[in-house]
Amino acid sequence: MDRNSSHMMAGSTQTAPAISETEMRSGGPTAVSQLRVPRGFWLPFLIILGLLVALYFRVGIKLVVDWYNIADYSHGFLVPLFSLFLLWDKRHKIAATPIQPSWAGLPLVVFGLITLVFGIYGVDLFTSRVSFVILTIGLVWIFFGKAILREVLFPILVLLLAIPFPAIIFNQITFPLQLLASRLASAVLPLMGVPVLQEGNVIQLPVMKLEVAEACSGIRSLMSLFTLAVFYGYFLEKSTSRRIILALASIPIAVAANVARIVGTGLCVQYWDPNKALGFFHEFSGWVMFVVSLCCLYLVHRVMSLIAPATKEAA
Amino acid sequence: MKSPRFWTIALLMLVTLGLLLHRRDADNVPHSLPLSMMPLTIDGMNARDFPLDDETLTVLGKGDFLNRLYVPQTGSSDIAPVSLFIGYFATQRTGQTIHSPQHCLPGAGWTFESSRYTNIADINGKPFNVGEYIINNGESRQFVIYWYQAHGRSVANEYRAKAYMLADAIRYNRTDGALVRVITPISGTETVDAARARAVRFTGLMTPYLPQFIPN
Repeated sequence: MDRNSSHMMAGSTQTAPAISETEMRSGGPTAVSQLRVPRGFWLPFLIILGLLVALYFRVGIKLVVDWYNIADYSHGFLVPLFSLFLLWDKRHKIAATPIQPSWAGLPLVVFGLITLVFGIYGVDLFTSRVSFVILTIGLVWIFFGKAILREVLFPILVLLLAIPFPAIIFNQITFPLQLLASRLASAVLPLMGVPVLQEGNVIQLPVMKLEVAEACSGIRSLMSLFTLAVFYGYFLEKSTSRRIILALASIPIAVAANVARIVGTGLCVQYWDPNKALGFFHEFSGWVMFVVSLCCLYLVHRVMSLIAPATKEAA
Repeated sequence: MKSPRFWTIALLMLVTLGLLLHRRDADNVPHSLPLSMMPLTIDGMNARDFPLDDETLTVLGKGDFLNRLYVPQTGSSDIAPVSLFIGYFATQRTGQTIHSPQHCLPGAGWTFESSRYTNIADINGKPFNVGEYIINNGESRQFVIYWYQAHGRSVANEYRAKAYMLADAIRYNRTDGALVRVITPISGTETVDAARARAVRFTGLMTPYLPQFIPN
């Protein structure tokens, strides 16, 4: 993460001048009059960047380890790349935005640093990780001003998707969804000739017991699906409101995919081979789930376009 | 380089870095005895251990767990058994936290019939903040008492427990803590109050042993 974060910083705080320089060299048409780079311009930024890396070195390593180890957050590796892509995509617009350093960003910087200290001293991973986003926003604001911040805010906020949610809150949201999926699947299976007995997230099939998710957790893949929906919406949809709808659609889709997973397993047990059913069940928690969700997203997107055809500018 | 903004920020970040380096990257973990040394006889009932399977242990994470049934001795068959579960984590630094029964029990098919926070006193008169719950899964009902125990403090609410964990991590650099859960069945022939009395009496006799396993 800190390597990414330094890239991230390089992206967020240095894009403007970096671009402006290349623009100047290539004789780009953008307005660069207000972007003359004085001598020694880079040194302060390198120092700030170095400090940032030093501050987040441990936090970053632990975060990358978590991405690697926690299956539900393996999408974390993609998020910084996506964020960088967004910055690169907007590079001309950022370059054309005037730099107006402003003290107004100071409170955010201070708040970010306090949050970091609190997170480290209070041993709360989430707090210390979120502080990076707060601090980055503050730094951009104070050194480059509000106009540039407005341009890079979304790419910075996207980084939040890579931060594992505190279990205490995440379960509150996802656990009811998991129970709902178990209930729906148990309602559907008998209609297809598979008798079931459902107790919470434990589903008793005629020959075996299915423990949907670990007994205590909710739909753990929700964060990955949500991230997928954000990416999808960004690349395949132009209007903000529709992107938000697509992102939110990931919640019912997560439930639907889980229902499909349980029902599919039940059908395997009943009509095919109980031993292979468990394989299916576990396989389905991985990439198949992902593909099914992507198809669902596509369908939702299509339905959206049918109900309200995109206007010309959003086409 | 002369920008006051730069110097202000650089200074703030340096101070923060100093604060971070000042804090070691390890918890104070006070010495504690393994939970398996919990007395085998409590309230005239004898313990039967039920080791947790590997899958459950994976979910629970790196801690010390006790999963026991205290069964009335023969001849006193008119009383139901009491189940005791304790999960102790020496450190919660790595992001693993205590699982709340609020999710585990419904996940296993139990629904919460009623819940309330209350105080119970152990045999030495020491008060404990606990949550009392009645759960059922259709045919059977159980009376549950559970709370979070850390550094000599008992807390029933998981959010408050989390807040105390943050505060204690900052103050004492400790993130150890435990969940204590006592369950007894409410048989068809007895009142809820009778089951509650049994659970409370057991809890009151058991808690004086806790500090050896869950340091104050």
